[in-house]
Amino acid sequence: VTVTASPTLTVTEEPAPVEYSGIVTRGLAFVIDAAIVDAIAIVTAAAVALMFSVLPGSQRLHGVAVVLAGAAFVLWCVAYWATFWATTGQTPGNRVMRIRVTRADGSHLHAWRAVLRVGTTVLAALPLLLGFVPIMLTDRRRGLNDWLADTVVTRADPVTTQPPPAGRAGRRAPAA
Amino acid sequence: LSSACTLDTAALTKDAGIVAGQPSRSTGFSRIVLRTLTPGARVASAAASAIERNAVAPVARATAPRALALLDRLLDAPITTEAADHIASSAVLQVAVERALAGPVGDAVAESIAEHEVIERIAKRLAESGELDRLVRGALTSDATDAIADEAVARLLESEQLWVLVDEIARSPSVTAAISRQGLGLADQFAAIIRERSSRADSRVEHAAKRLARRDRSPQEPEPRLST
Repeated sequence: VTVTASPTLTVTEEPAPVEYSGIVTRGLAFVIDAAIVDAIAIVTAAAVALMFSVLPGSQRLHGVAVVLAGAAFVLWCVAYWATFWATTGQTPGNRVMRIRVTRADGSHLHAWRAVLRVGTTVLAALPLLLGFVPIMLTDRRRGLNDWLADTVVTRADPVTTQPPPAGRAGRRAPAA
Repeated sequence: LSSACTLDTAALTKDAGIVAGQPSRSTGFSRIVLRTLTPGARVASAAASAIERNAVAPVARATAPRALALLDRLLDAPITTEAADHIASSAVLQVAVERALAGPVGDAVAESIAEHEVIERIAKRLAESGELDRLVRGALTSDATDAIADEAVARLLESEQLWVLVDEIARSPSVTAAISRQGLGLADQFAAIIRERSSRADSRVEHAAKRLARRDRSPQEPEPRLST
């Protein structure tokens, strides 16, 4: 905090240091989210299948049911991640790992940008996950999905004042 | 002496059939005897009072210090101690004490102990001297206490009410809330460990990736020309 003795009092606060999340932490958060998504999807699919199993002629619509189930699963996945990113910026997995998805300037994501990030994440994963390699090589730990959606993934909990050991701790944002 | 004479007069009056405040029904012989003896009794009472006042009291005052000194000598004498030992070791004292305590004397002693807070004073003194701690420790470490505790625990475990109580406690909101808090605390600790290790892993993976990238970017050194 800098206070200058001038006719007009000026108080300048330094922004809190931002720590970007690495690929392992993000991967673990994704694993937790995937487990939640799959568990809910399996339970829901089992319940729906059980209900339809008693209906006459349901076996004839097996192919249609598979397509519908696939579409519902994709929709469910998009809704899950996009909703959490657009509202709190944290999926349950992100909350466990104490990370948050924001825009590059630190603001919250809008709904369409959250949906866009879901799509770009799929794009980054398609070429044998090569789209995530830049996370390990860039200062702000941004992957292809982050670049395309203009987002960053940061630590959600306050950064400790004690400097971490060199070469082991997460990277801080460069001074603006 | 004067009191004795007074009692004698009262007895004579009673024997003569005279009751205070009531009309006399005595016979003529009784009246004659009464009239004869009453003045004599009065004289005897006055004489006894005079003797007590003028003869007995001075003698008592003069002999009291000597009597006390004699009593002191008697108490200091070894034979007195031996006699006390004999009395204390005999069954007579025990019987006397038991009979005294079984009667109204026991009640009076109990009331006096309660009134003067004797037990509180004894307990306070024991607590201050540390003797109470020693007594309690001795009682707790004794074999009899262990046996009593074992028996009590065995009986407690056999009772159905104990398990009803345990069920009630286990179902109580405070206990379930405490278990939930503990479970959440354990989960939070586990998550914190995972976060710390993942953060280290981030750095290690990036370090390795950057080393690999630098190696790939390093320019190829020109091969030495072969001279023929």
